[in-house]
Amino acid sequence: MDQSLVMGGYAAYILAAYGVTAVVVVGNIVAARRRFRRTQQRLRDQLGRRAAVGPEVRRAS
Amino acid sequence: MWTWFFRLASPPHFYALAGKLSLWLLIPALILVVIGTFGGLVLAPPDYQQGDAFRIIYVHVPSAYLSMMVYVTMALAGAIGLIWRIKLAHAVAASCAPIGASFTFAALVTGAVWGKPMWGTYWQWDPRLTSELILLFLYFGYMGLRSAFEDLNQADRASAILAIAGVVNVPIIHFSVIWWASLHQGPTLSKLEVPSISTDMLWPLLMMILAFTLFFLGILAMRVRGEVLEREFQSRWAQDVLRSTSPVRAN
Repeated sequence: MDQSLVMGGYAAYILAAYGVTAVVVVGNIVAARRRFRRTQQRLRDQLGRRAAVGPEVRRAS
Repeated sequence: MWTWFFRLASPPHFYALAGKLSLWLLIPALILVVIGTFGGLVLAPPDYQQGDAFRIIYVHVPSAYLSMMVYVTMALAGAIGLIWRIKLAHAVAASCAPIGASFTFAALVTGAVWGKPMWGTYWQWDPRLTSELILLFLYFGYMGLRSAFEDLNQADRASAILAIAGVVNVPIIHFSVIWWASLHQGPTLSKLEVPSISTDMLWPLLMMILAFTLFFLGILAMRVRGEVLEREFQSRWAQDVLRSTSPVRAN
């Protein structure tokens, strides 16, 4: 095989290093987006529960 | 300038700004990553000693740089939060930790993978490697400490103190290759007056460092938005934001 294709025999190391970095980069995007959406959803649910309880509390008082 | 600073520190202003900024930072970052990776893997010539294995530098150095830069940002934000009691600063510090930990992990793994063909081993208890590993533990400790407190103010204060105390490790990492006998090669980029890397090899590295910096800022903006929303949940503006972005609006 052409020497340049296998990167001088270091292809496995180079690709492993780039692969791990790619996973970290993509993982950061996914984790940040997921966390933001979960936080939004959780807070919205809390807000919804408050809105549901609110009129009862007002009526009671 | 102070007016600008205090306006930036205002949670609703920062929330809106970060929402616009995150994409504008992430898109150029990803474009630069592609260009830098192409430059590093294809255009840069092989090193005369290390051959093609040196190409790992294009992911290892930006990851290692980010691991330290994020920690310093986290410690600075923690200090600002402690001294001026700016809540946003604590949100920034808390958001830095997972990003910094992930890039410290990347720096350690890419370094190990580079070390195997060059040194004959994945790991050595070398000053640079050991101090970088301690940095990873500091990030874990920071996140663990935060989650140990139920009270957010206590978590902010305790974790800020840990971040500030741990910042002493950053110059140790940087200068370890100068202070002690080390397997790790000396600094490449800080010697600007005597460049120890050819321009053909340097430009993709600088591009990757810029890309990683923009990437960090973009992810940080995304994470801080969530933190701010959570911390400001009781305030009117946060509830308005949640209602306005709700997929199903309550009547």
